[in-house]
Amino acid sequence: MKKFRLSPITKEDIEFIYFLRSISKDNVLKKSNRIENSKFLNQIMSQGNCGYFKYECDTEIVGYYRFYSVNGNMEIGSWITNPSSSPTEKILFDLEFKKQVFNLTGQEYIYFDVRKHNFSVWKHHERFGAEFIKEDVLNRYYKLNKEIYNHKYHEKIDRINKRTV
Amino acid sequence: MKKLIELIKEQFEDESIEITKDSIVSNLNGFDSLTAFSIIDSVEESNGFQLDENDLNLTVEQIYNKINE
Repeated sequence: MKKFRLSPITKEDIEFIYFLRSISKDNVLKKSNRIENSKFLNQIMSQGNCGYFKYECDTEIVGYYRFYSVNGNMEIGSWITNPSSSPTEKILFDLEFKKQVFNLTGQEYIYFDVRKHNFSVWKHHERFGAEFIKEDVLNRYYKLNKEIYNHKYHEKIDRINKRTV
Repeated sequence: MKKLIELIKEQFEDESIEITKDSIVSNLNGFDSLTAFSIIDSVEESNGFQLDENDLNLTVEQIYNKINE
């Protein structure tokens, strides 16, 4: 049985986050250079409970994800995954992270946006209960209700876990 | 077979994508790890059959045969 772990990032993650961003096909994630990346992450970590998490499967890092408050709303973003992780591991990461954000923050809603061209990403979020709010030239904007999410989570999690054995 | 092709097609952005019984799912334009998950999950939801991630390297016909073995 594989062991999964969700935990806050440490300084040791900075280089790997940079690496994953640098090989990402998504230009949004690619833009920061090594120094900017390091400065940004160090700044976030210095704020104590930084909301930036990593997900590990046994000893392999599956990816990173972040939550932060914007005008009182809880937003998630910067989801980046290890290309060598399996699709199911990546999905488990997303599911466990969102659950963690709801648990840690006590919020009823999580907000996020997805680039319009990232069809598979926003379709995935919709599959797990995300509600489309609006769109502009670049992005689709979503909110996710805690109750709806929990329902989807419990409906699917056992089945998904079985695929990782 | 037609139902399986439709189900796979629904997971892709390009509605005009051509999928035949000989198409290898993982070679289809726009395929990525999230698409892989969606296909596996959709097949399990509709057929109760659990595909392996490696099965997506098979043709649609081979996947169909596997589900209906």
